[in-house]
Amino acid sequence: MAVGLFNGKSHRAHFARTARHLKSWVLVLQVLTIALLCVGLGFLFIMSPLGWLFLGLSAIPAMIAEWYGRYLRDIPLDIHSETADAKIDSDILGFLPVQPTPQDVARALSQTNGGSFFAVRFGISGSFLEQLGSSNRDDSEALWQAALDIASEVGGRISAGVLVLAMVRQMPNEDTLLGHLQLTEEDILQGIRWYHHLDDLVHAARSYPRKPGGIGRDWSFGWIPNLSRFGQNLSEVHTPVSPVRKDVVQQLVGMLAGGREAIAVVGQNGSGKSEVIHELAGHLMDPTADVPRSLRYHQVFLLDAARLLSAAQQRGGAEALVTALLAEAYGAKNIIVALDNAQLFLEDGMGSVDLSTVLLPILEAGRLPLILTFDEQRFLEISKRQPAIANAVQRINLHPTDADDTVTVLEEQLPLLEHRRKVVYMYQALKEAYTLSQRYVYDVVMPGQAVRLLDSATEYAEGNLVTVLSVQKAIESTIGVKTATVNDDDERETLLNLETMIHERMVGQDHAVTVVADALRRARAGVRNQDRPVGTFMFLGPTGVGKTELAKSLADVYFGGEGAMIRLDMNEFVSPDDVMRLIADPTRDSSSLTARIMKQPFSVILLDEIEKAHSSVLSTLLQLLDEGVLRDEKNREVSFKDAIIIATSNAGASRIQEFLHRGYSLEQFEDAFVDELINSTIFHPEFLNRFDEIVVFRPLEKKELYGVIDHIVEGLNKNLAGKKVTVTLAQDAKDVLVEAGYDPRLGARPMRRVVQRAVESTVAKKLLSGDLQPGETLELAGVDISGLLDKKKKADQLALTDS
Amino acid sequence: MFLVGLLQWWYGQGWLGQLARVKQRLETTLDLFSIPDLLRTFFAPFRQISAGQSGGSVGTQLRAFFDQTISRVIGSIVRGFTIITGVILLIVQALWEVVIVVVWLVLPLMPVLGALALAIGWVPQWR
Repeated sequence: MAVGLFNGKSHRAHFARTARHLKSWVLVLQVLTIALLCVGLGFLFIMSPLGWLFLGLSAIPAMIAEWYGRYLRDIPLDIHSETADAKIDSDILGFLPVQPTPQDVARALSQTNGGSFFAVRFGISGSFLEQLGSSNRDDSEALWQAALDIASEVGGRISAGVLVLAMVRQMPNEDTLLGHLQLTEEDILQGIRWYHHLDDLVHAARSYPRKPGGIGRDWSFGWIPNLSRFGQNLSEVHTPVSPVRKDVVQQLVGMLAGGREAIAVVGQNGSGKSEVIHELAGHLMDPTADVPRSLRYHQVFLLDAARLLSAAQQRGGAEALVTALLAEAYGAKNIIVALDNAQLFLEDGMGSVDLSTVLLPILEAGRLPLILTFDEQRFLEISKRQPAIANAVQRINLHPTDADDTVTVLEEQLPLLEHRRKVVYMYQALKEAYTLSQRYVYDVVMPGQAVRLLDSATEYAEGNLVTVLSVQKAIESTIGVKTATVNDDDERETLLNLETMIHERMVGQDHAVTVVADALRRARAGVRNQDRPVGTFMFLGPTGVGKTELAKSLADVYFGGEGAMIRLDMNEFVSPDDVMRLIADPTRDSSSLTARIMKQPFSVILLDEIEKAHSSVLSTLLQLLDEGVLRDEKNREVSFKDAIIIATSNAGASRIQEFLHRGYSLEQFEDAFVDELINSTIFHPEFLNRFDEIVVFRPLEKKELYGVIDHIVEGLNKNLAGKKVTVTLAQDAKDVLVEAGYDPRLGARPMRRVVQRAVESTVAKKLLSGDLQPGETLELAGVDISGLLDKKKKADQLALTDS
Repeated sequence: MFLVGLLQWWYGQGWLGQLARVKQRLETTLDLFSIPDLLRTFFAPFRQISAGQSGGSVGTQLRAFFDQTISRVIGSIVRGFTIITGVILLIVQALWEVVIVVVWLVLPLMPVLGALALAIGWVPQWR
């Protein structure tokens, strides 16, 4: 029989199977060795030559145990071989029969650590693959070919992940499976590299010396009693260098070795400045790392401003203490001092102290290795205020990481985070943490953004497993935004009945309501473009037809209340200077548009009377409408991708009236009207083109005002519910109110005034006079209403004559 | 297959691995006593006591020179003792490692040797 790509009879395969059987006997063998040794020595003690035999026999179990421990347990790979059995992890190989089927491979995966890693982290377990895998031996060849192809991309090793991906590739419904798991092939490849990297770290940690450099390492260097007391020795803990920050660490080493002693590491909050210092400390201490002799085994001490301030009790104490510490570091000759958040040492304030008079000469002299980390903005401020400090240091910029690098950093930090929080993270959770934190967390940059979110997601772990849902819940609870697609029955019901629910609050305008409801359904079903706002609408029409009411209704029905509506009256944005009020930083103006959306990303944004805004303001809004982002004054990208943007305008209201007056229906003139508006000078065409839909609202008809009256009376009854009284209107009463409140120019707006005048005032009087008692219902007829309105009309006329 | 595989490994990769581990253990001891570093800095001032340049009068400079010399002498004594201790331990360890390496080679023969010794019947006499 041809061997093919997998030789199940090879020596390696044979030994791997032997190892599997031997595993449970190793302890027995070790005990047996000791027992035989003891018995042998015992016989020799009583001077019996039988002792030699037992001593000699003890070598057999000892050798087998040694063979298992040193070789069989982890049989070395031959990555240059062309057959899979030479490249596959030996623990998996041990579970494979001579001629394995894909199902056998899947079964082997479920019994190994590597298989468990992918089952937990990616949700692809061996038993799951076993159910889907083929039981035909002929299908194995394709599987081994796929495994060999994948292995060539990850260094030649066929580990559990490689087999998982190879099996997934063999499935006819691969895309469906991966889509269901929210994964791509590239994700699994990344997972394979992650698994290999963790394996390497474990092996490296085993051989890492307890005290690198030995007992005499520091004898040529000075005593550092004060630094040991007030500083934190970062070199005591071995922090491996992350592949993402390798270049920065090398750059730091190069600068320090090249005699540039004062270095500023500048980056935004979360960019990993402190981690770079920790990794530098680990790198200098690592005996296997390529470190210049002049820096080998140098120790990095971190000075903390708060600790120094608390230690320095009297005025000028901090200066004296820092001077003493730096002198000690200089005298010791093997110390690198790191000032984390160095701005705290260069300005007076709460928790900070201005030591620039002490630090500046040291920085300028450049004889003491000193690393300062700065927040980008603060460094600019300090550079402006004290240019000498900026000139005295060599600057290294630390940029936020991109998606791939962030995931790599998260993979590095995860073991520590998992150990601390006693949870396990799924790989999908890492990706989701990147996506969501990128979108919603503003005060820190990557990778700090994602690390922080992952940390908070542990609160929502499902049985100690942090999933995509845990991350979504964490962000939802922090900022109230809905990030997951619909999976809740109540929400599904709301979305399907959105039109009906909105119509419970407002009358008519069916087209507008449907357009907005459709946009929201698209968004929540996950089919919309994620790089734009949920929907952008321009509502056009005369006053009082329900434009603002629709926005309010939407906020109330779906976004959790009218409080979720951010309303900007654009007639307050009539000059170019008002642009700043849109994009002001929250610390300066908490009412700016960007500040409010940062706090509440899941909102309805109502830009009322948009035609009145200055053209600069409209230009600023272009990017928001197009890409769903707006750059604030600090140049941060603020996301509007979870908001519905509604702009309202009365522009062309008279033209709508004119069309209607001439007997056209809305459907007949809508397109022509929008074309006219585009051609007019009121809005630039590029501004109007940014909206998903331009919706024309028509004036309400008389028959629709009956519905408006019902809504107003319903609202009144809600207010009166506490007094246990109810108001009802007879049909003729409604007729009178509609006649009195209908004005085609003002829409439904006069109706509220009329109802207030006729109904609410009557109820108030009757309540005060005691004519209306709790539990009673007041029914008003047409006569009552017309009488009241006449009285009020006369009173108004009299007041007008008097004045 | 089992026995052949075991013996093949024992005198092949196993033997080489054992030598590598011996080398690694000796290096660890060498590193623990910092012997190369101590030799390189043998006459450096101990813990930087009285190290550095000093100005001033000839008398002050002379005093600084003597202080530094004392620091260097103390340093070389401490380092000398450490190096000697380290070297002695290294020698002892090296002898022990030789025993291990030899025992490794002989171990597969132990059952046969044991049987032979039983056949000869000799045992150490201590009574």
